[in-house]
Amino acid sequence: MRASLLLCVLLGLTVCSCLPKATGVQAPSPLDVAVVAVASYPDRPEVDGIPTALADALTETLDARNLQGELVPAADFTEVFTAKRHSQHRLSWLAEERSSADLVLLVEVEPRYFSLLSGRYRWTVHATMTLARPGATDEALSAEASFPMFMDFHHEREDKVLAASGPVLDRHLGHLLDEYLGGF
Amino acid sequence: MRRPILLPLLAALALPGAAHAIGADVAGYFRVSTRPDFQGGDGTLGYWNLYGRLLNEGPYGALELRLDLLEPTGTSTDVWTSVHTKFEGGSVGNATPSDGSLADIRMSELYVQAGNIVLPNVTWQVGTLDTYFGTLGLYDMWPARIFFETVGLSGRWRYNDVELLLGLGDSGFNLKRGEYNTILTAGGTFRVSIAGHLEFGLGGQYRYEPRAAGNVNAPYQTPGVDYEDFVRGEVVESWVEDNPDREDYFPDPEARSAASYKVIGYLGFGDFGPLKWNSLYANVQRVHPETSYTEWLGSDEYTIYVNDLTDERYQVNLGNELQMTIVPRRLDMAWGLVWGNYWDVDNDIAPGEHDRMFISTVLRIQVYMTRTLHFLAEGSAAREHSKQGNAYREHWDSIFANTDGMPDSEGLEYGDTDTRHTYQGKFGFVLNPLGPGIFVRPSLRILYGFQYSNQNNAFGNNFVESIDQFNEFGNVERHWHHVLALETEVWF
Repeated sequence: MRASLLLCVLLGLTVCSCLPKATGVQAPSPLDVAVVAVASYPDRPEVDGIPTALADALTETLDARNLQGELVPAADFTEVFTAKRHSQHRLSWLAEERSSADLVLLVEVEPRYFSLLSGRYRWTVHATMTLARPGATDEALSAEASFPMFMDFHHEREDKVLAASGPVLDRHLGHLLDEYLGGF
Repeated sequence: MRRPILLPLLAALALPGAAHAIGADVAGYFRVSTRPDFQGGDGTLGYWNLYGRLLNEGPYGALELRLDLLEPTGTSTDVWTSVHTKFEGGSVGNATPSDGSLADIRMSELYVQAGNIVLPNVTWQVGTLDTYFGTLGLYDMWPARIFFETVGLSGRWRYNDVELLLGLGDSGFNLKRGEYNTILTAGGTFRVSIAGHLEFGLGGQYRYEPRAAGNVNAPYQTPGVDYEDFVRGEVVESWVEDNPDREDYFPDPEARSAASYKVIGYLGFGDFGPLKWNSLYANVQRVHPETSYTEWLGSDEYTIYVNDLTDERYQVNLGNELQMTIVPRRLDMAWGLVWGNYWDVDNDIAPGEHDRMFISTVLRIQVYMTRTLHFLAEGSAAREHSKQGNAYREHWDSIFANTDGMPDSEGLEYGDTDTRHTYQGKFGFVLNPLGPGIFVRPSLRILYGFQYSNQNNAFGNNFVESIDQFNEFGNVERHWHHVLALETEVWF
């Protein structure tokens, strides 16, 4: 009886591990993508780059679609983007700075604290993702998403929230990339 | 014409795609479960969450809404303001006795926040003021919490990693419900974080209920009340025995003022090595006194005022929770400890909620077999001790095993032991769509739990406890309890 039960559990796990993994739409050939990922805040004008963990997650999402992402260092854009607040203006700047890239990708995220909800620190992350060819920014494809993030502790502020948001943000970015690449 | 504040809020949330445009956000928490119980219980493994929240709490829901009336912008110091409300309650269709009735859902929070007014870095809040340093997730307890009962005004100043909150309000409606009387409440909290590895917090509140002669809901004391008569509910009967035929001269209550307080503390550290974080919470409090209760003598109703008999109830509560990564992305652990000591200076004769000590520990591990399929195991051990004599029934016929082995139908004790020991074990599979983490939600769980307690039938049930010879259902003695559970829990 116990052996049968154990066998059922192992069989279940095996089936789970064999479930097909979702793969994104592949670019027909490797494409260079210049990526700017910028974080802004509702309570102060400064902007920052995103945490390494989130940057790595974004890069993996690009890699999975035959896209070679090059993350623009935060030092290159923080001063400019403190003044330029609109996505279109930022995309134009990126397209000019990385005109040799096949694609430019602008990822803008804004974490905002919501409340301490039934014991968990709830944040809302608003993200805008914009993808375009450097020479055709007026044909950019963009997507917006707002999603909750729950943190266990008070000291986990914006950087931890963004670092933890990788799995959800990747999903939204993946959909945008798939839509774009599907049109090739 | 009055415009209910909730209507535009709810209408805004109902508009497809309008939520972000108008700065509305909806959040919440739900848990729902079914726990068929072949032993006759009502679906919880034990009596309460001292043995860990898992399998000891029932379904629950909370919905919290925020509407930005003036949205904050990072590019300016313009005034911003938002309205928040929260509805919550333990009522879910097909899963609770109330069957999802909205009558069991209450609006627990309603407040407006505003910033960039008068002082920089200060968030003003008017409405409900509930605030706490954090939570013991394994227990669903909040030891370091103030203003839970309060409606008023607070200002929260935050600068980098330092935060100061001061508040002032009234706790009368929460503490006295339909017998409202003003209870002025003032307090605050201070918290500082150091380098993301250490946090320290301190706070407290003081409540004062002023003397208000003439107001039947104000603090009073009926003179000459013996504590034992109060416990038995025989104050009037005893007085009439001592003063025959003088019922009309039952003593008038004397006005009092009442006060209570709560001091809270918090120490957190971690984010190094395998230690994710350790949170230690504490509170020391003097419970606010009760106002009155009624007794009947014949067809006459008497109100007995009990301020002096209930104004020296004290509590000390400590709670600690440690979260640790044992094997990265494979095995996490959370360990909790709770200790409480309650004493009532006025009472030295009867067991009760205000004279007890308890200690509990809970250990949970979660093994990540795949990113989304986990194995969970939790164990707990708890000891609850009544400081004023027996309070628990170890056996169905415990009346025959009372103190000194003698039945005492006039005694103030209950049952045949002053200590309850409870041990629980729970394990099963968890589906976590968002990946690893002991507190990552949503979780879909299939669990089995067992409990051993020295108390007979130590779980919610509808057993007939009478040992009357005409009890047609019979009595059951059971110390082991088993529960299967299908449940889900989500924050959103």
